Amino acid sequence: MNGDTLLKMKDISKSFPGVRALDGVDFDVNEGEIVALVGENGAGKSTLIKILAGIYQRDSGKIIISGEEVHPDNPGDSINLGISVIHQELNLVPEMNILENIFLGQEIRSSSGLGRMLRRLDANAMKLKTQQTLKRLGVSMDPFTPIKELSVAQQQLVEIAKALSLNARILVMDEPTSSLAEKDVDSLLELMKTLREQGVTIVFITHRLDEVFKIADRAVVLRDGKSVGQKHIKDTTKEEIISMMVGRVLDQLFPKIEIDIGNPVLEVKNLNRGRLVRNVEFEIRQGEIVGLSGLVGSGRTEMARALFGIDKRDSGDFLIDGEPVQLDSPRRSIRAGIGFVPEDRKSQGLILRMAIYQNMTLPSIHEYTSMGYLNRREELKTTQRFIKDLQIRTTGPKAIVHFLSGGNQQKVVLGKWLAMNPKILILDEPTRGVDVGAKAEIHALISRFAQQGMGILLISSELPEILGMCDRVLVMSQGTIVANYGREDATQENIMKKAVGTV
Amino acid sequence: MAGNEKKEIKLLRIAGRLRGTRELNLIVIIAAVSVVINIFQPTFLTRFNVQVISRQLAVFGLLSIAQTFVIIVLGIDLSVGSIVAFTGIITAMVFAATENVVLAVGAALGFALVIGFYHGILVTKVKMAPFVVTLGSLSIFRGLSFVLSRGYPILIRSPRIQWLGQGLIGPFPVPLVILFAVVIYTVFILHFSKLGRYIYTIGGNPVAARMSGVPVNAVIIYVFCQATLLASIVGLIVAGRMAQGLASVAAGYELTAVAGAVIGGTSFLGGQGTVIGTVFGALVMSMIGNVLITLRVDAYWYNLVTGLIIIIVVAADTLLAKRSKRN
Repeated sequence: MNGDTLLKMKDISKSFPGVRALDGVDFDVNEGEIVALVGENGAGKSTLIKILAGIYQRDSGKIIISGEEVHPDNPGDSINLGISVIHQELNLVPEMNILENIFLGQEIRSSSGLGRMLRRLDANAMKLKTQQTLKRLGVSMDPFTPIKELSVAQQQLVEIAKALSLNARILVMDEPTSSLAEKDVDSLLELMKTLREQGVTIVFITHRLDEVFKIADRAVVLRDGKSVGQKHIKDTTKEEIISMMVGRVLDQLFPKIEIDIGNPVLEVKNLNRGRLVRNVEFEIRQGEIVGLSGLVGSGRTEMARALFGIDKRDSGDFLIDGEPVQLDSPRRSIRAGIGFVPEDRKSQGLILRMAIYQNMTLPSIHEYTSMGYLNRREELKTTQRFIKDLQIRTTGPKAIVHFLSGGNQQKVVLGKWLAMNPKILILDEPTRGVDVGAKAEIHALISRFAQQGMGILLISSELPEILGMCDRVLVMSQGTIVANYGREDATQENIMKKAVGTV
Repeated sequence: MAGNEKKEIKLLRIAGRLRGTRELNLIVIIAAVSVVINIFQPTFLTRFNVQVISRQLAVFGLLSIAQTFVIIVLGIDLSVGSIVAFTGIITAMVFAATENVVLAVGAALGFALVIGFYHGILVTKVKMAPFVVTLGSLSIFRGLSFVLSRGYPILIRSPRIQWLGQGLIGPFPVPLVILFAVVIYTVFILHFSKLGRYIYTIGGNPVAARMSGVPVNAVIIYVFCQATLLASIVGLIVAGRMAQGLASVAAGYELTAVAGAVIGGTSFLGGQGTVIGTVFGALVMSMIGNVLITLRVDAYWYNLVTGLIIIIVVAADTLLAKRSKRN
């Protein structure tokens, strides 16, 4: 470890339409160290890494590697500069074997004779090199095993092997542990230490502070697209890092209305689905807004999907108004009185090419049907009412949803569930990707639904949204609910501690 | 300058409005072509020739409507041609054995429903691609027809079954009347019923449809059942017209049916298509052969002309759509 500055990213800024993702961020990496890049969801970690990887272009700022300014304009440039990024979603071809994946696009060709003329691949050289690299990682895998037969942890090793065979000087790992089981996490962390001893420099993005404190030399904290600071791990505590991650004042975006809370409207017991939903139990009362917090990958969305009957679950018992109900499919859940605003409105919430009214009446369509005949006039009337009520900015109920803005599209999704008059409304990231104004309007609407006696489950990655809106906050971590805070006990620090797995 | 711009906007607006009514475009083109041909060959618009065309229209129209529903839900049914032959053979054999018209017709329709259900189950539960499922049936039921009939025609000595293909109600051929009834039913289903809304929704976004409570699997099974059922009705019409069940009939009709649907505005992207548009598309397909014969063009030109018409119609439509989107 010689500690010279290997990479310097200076004053990096990047905007997307409507969002300033990075605002003058500085980020240094010294040779031979493990740097943890930490921050809340949306703090700008992934954007920063994508700029380094040449996937995004920075708006301003400098990138200096070994004292030379560089301009990675595409992923190829970045790889040539010695930067290898292992993304959260692995980039392997499942049908090909380990060797083929490692050498994809950089196959070794025969260097002599006829083979050279025919540009023949040198299978032996590639096999030898693959075996060497795998040995360096301390794993024994047959280079000819197809990727699809490997576990996620093993696939990750192949990605690392691929990076090493590219002679990477900096290995960037984006949330490498989020999809791994506990024992695999430990061996990955061990491997990272081994690589550091071999002189590989590692940038490690994570939410999990435990891991940071186990292996990192230094932590760099981002918040809201800005650098908050950096700490040497031996000089700091988890508490300090957490307060750096969340340290901001709550704004007044969230109009919380005090409501009398009634009887339990939904009770969930013994809900299980694979690794990401384990023994989940909770209840929601009439007029109550229950927040569900947790990091990306903690199982929040999976839990909601299993509850609503979208994905098959291993077990689960449900009571609505005290009566047992079967929620085996979205259709049944809707019949039972549950509405579900999914996390991705374009792919799951809306039929983009259809009109507003056709989207709006879909969950409650039987109300407009007699003898199979669909009463379009009634549909248009109801839709017109919701357009007015939710202040959807459009030319009318027959406008095609595709052409509405994100915020207005989201209001159509809300409207479609309100039109069925649910007892329980599950909202998964209801304000993601909508502008600030629409966000405030959606928050006001959610409060109003609760006031009307609906029980609401609000899943959100934004802590201020959770804290501002909710009567109670559940925190999920690794598939289970690890905390249940009343409004008075729910603080950013408390929630964050539970979410990152600190006691 | 300003005046020109206004004129341009006006023209674009007219183009845009016409684009919305593909049915109108098609019928105008069909009528104009018919009149022009009739000037050169006055035999074209005689009552006899129009009846000939309309019998063909009934066959292609029913199959194209079947195909339209399936394509809207992002599928395709390649089996309909083979089902036509198979149900014709079944009708002929059951009638030969029992001399009972109701049993003979019922057997054809019943088999068709079972086959459609089987397609639907493979697509929804086994999650096979509709193309593959119905490609299998294309071969299986053509093959089964040959096995059952050993390649020989099976005569149908029932005047009532023959009436289905040959009869007239007033001036109208019976197949045309059947088509008319099916059009009324399918227009209601597709454009005025809850089921129709479900069908478009699934074609538009199957994931969102399911999450909004649409019984996606049941709807897809219905659509495949309707497709084979309509194919079996065509099977009865064709068998009645020829007074026999014949294993080799209707070969390639599945693609003619796809062509009719596509010319009529059905999109392979799903979620788009109308019954009336499809009927006009099928009318175009029914007229091509007849027009070529009337104009004494060599029969070898048939496939080439058909292909060109499909490409020209769809390309024109796509380009028009692009232009209207840009403005």
